[in-house]
Amino acid sequence: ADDPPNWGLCPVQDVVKPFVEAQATPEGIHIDNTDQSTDIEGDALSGTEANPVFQGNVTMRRGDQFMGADQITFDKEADRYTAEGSIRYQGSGLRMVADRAEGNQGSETHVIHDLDYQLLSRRGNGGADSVTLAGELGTLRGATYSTCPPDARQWELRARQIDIDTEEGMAVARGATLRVGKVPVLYMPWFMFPTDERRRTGLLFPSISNSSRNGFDYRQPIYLNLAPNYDVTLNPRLMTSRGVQMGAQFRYLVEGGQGVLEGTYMPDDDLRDRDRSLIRYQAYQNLTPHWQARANLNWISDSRYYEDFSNSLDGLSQTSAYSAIGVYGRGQGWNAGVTADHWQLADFTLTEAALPFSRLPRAYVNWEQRLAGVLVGGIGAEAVRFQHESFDAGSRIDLKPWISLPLEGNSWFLRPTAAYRYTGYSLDEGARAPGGSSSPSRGQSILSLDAGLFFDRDTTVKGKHYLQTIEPRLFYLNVPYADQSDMPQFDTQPLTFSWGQLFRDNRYSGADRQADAHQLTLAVSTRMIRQSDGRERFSASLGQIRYFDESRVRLPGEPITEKGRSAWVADANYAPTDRWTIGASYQWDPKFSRTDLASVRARYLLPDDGVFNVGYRYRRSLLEQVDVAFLYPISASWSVVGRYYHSLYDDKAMETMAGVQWDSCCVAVRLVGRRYVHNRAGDLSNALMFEIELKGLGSAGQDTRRALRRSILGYNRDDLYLVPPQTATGQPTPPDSAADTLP
Amino acid sequence: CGFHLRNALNLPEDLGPVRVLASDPYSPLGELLADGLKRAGAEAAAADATADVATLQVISEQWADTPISHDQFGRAQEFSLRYAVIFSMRRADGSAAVPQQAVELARDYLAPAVDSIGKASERELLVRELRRDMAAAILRRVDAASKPAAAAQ
Amino acid sequence: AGMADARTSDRNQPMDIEAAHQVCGLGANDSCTYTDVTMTQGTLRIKAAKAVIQQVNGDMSRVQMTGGVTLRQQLDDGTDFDSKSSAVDYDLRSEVVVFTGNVAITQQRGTLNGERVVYNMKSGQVESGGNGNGRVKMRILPKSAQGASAQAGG
Repeated sequence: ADDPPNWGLCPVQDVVKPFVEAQATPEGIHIDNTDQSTDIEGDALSGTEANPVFQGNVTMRRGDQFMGADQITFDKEADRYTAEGSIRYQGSGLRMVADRAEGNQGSETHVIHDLDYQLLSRRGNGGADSVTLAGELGTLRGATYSTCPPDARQWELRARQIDIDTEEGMAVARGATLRVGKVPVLYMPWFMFPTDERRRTGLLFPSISNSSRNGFDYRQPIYLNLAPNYDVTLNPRLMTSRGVQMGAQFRYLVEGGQGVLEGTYMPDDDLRDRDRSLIRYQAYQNLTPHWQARANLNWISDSRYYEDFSNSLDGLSQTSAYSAIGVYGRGQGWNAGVTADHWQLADFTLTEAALPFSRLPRAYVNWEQRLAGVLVGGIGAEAVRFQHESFDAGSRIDLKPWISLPLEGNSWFLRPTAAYRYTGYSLDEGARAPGGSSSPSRGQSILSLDAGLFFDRDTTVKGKHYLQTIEPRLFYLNVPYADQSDMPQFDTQPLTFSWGQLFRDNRYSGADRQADAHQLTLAVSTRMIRQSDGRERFSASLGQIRYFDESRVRLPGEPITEKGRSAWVADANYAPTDRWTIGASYQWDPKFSRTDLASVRARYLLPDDGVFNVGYRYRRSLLEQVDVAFLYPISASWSVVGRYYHSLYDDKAMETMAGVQWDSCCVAVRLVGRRYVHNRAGDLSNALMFEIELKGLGSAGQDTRRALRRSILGYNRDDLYLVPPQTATGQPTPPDSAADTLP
Repeated sequence: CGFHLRNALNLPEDLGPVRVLASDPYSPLGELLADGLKRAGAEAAAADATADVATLQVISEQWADTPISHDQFGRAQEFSLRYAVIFSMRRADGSAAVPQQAVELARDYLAPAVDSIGKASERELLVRELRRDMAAAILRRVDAASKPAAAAQ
Repeated sequence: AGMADARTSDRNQPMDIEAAHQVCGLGANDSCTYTDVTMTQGTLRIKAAKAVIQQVNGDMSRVQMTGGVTLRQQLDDGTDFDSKSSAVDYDLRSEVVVFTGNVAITQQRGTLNGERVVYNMKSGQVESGGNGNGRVKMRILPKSAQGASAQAGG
């Protein structure tokens, strides 16, 4: 989602300086002026009872409207007034100075001539031959609009007419010419844009770009606020070398739920000579205090949709469109759900066979209860009906009752657990193993013991108090062997070997395989915790599994896990200062004395929102990659960005990027050169992305900001923390920046 | 070398009964934190107590599943599941026992596009494990922030 | 509607005057001075701490009231005209009324406040403030509130 433009480089004072006597109503409070009285003040009163004439520093106030003038004449009968001389007006979200004005208090309309105006809520300002104000609506005629200060007009919109609705925060310009500097660059008969940040500005900006694939690419969002609790955004889009696309997004808010229904349709896309469309529905609805329905449905017309409608690496990273819908329940000590999910292929180089089995439906429940005294018992149960386009499937039930005795002291814990896992199938014809039964099943006991100690020590480093801990831990697991060679593989895969895997009672995800095991994990962790705020300055952990017997359960094509020792697993995180964070993981397999995994990630937060990332990842026989990405602010206005993401394994630069950004009060210009993998065949292509962002109006040129955010983690500082820092420390959350824009 | 078996998990002194407040009433993290506090010796506040009771508040929980490496065709291969929680702890009188702060944890997992079969179930397993680790991390911060030495600093 | 179209019928009504104390000259052009006086003429009703009424050959030519004056009159359109000020000077011949001393005039349409307000009954002219005698304030009530609060005033 795009965040609101940054006005940091703008002069502080307003274009139209605030009027001393007019106090702006606090944000969000709306006063209905029609039932407010009108107070007029002046140095002198003359004229008649019916047509009083006020002169001398005259002020008129009604609700949140204020007008100052040299002279105001009233017609009480017709409820009209005319004002002359150094008019100062504030109301309908605007503040303006002018020479002449007249209006009707009854219908609460005002007409003001030859004015300079500014939006109260933000930087938008300009002049107009006249404005007609009625309630919250303002119609400017012969008007200009810009967010630049008058003395540095880098861009300006001139229009025959601009209708501004400050309550909605939207404006429509008619017969508009856009000037950048002195040069008129674009004429638009009709042009809608947001005037404040309440609406999802990112989505509502018109954008113009050009690329070899799409040609001239113009998108004009149209925002329709139909009711307080639902709105529609239409997204007509013209791509000269492909055709016209229409997008629409319907958002609704109801009691205890909300949802977004989006779709795009493109008749006859010349790129693939076929119609293209996408439907997406994301919603949740609270049914009862314990049960909630959730939907996340995605459908694409063809498997190249994501690839053809995105201009960055992340368009390719998605290889399937995942849809899930279900009812989820949660309560004291239990959670359950009845769901259905399905994958649709989004990678034309793969076939349906690569897709996971759909689970239509899947029912699960996990329940846990404190039994007599310290004993804790529970059960995990799951029943699933699998389906797949290319393979026969079947249904499976998996039950795992367990009982545990969690004993704990201040400095130790001991958790013996005994469980019995039963898994049974009823398989369709094609899913059975050759000569296997149609309802194979297995039952295994699972005994495990998790134990650990905590040692502490207070130390001071560089004058700061730290708590240093050493936490040895062991995990014993015993599961008898059960032949599972005649069982299918529906949703099971070996779990990624990691620190977490050292303490799990199964080597596989899903219920198709329950590994036999007779093993002991020995592990130790240490931490340095700063006592002033509890932040972990340093933590490291080391562990290994000792296999007393070989583990014979395996998936087709998987080697047997032999007796002996697993790879060492080592993780470390170090944050020497608040700006530096370094993370490393390493796995060494003593049996073959080779490295299975080696990864280092370092991030340095440069001042003024700069960031420097460097990372190295090696995973045996899978990948070896180096990734360097940075945003380096040279000055308040100039900053350079760069990324070099090289796959040593494929000896290929996956993405190389260099760019420069010039930022000012109301214009940001980005020039970024990129060479990236742009299609499924892995071909690299060059792209020169030039973007002029007219802050507060829109952006011209590919949306480089989003491409940069994807490539340089931390380009937008908020991505770093998942949770924007200012919300971490209690400042109000930023305005609703909705889910990512549609690909 | 100065290491000793840990004594009790420190809680801010004169805390009194504590309740755990989460944006979603039955958030699993809320339950884990409540258990952790009980094990640390805190007295659980009455279920419906709202006024003048200490509060460990889970202000927001956010998840993100971002690709961290791609294969040569641009397909994502490894993901990092990231989980960030903002929490704060206030005494009964409203004063901050532990200042509002964010904790972020991440787990990397392999999800090659070619056989993404079991990945949804691995992700569900990681979600449960991350919640337990987050509860432990938050309680460690409560412990560290209420250490007498810290108070003296 | 304003003082100008005050009840025309009032002017040819008898004016009766009650006062706590009264001092009058006997001549046709002499003046009378009243204290704590109430004057009523048709719908017009004036109360003042002190009033000096001058006559020209038997007809009232000028009334000067001071020490806090309240005046109420019903206008042609049936609405009331109320005023409160420290002094009122009513010149019957030129039909000009001058209110002075934190004047507060209340009508159904709204209120007028000022230090000095001059009404010309014949021409309907009204003047107030100017050359140093304070700001003039007027409040026009919204249509919705006009009916109800006519009496509430300023």
